[in-house]
Amino acid sequence: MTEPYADSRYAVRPDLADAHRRTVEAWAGPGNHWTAAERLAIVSQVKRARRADALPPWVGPTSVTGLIDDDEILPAVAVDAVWRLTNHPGTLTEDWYRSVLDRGITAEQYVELVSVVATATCLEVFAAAIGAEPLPLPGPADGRPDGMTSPGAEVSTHWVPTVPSGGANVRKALSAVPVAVEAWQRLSAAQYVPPEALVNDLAWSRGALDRMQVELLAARTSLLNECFY
Amino acid sequence: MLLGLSGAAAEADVELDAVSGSGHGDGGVASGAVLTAFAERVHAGTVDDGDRSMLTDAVGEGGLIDAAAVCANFAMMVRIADGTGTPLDGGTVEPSAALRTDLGLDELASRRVAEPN
Repeated sequence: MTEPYADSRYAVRPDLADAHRRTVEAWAGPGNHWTAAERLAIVSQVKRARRADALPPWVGPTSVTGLIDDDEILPAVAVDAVWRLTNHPGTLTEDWYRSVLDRGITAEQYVELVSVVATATCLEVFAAAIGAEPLPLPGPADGRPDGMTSPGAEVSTHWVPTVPSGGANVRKALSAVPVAVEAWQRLSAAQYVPPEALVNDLAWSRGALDRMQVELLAARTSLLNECFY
Repeated sequence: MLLGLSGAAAEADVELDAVSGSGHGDGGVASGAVLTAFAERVHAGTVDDGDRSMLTDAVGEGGLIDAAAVCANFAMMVRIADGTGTPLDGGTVEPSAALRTDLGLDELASRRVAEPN
């Protein structure tokens, strides 16, 4: 891949550009529960969902004639879930989550799908915010999903299986699927606050914005997305 | 929560009303209104060069990049939290009660009953 955001009129920090480059490369490799081609297809559906005319939350795109290509490789339930997660995250309920599983994907596949949707949304939002083109997608790598699930994962505090730990609930949300954990941690460390400084150094700053400015942006964005957590 | 805590750590008088929107002023945060306006435009997908210029005038180009990164990060995190049914952390339920009421968070569809854990 060429240097990320080389076309941007604003210089992107090297560590941030590198985190984004590695995120794209990870999409193009096999995950724990989806193939590389399927992971890239999830990213492509995020892009389509963001650019499409808004659908009501309860209308899946696969129910709209002509909206999804006939040769789409993802199962319809995955496409519908991608669009709902992308465009209406504040409307999700446990009943909806259970309906996704009832339509034939596993909890671990769902967790990995959430991870790819969330990270793809992240890179799309960033590129649009700085006025740059989204990073190009490479072709899919060979290989099969390894089927790995984190030891000890079980349904307890979240809808999805998680690995018990003493950290904040959101930090263990994707813990059942190793590639999903790597994906969000890679981005969060470069974009927000390093985990070791999160609550232990409330004055931590990269220099351009102070911690209060960062937290104001974080809180406003979360509220705009109608996120209770 | 972390906005209030970081404000306390800096001995600043942070007004959490600023989280409700750019019309509420800076909220005790340097360039707060410009930053919240930028977050709103990012969320709406309508950021233009005028928004970017306004922000770089306030916090510099590095600040623009970091602001875009934070907005993008939380566009990611809300999908992780809401997509997995992440409940509030046990220790934050009571301390955040007044804040949740003030900001209308308890009325959100994504509200999940928080169980101690």
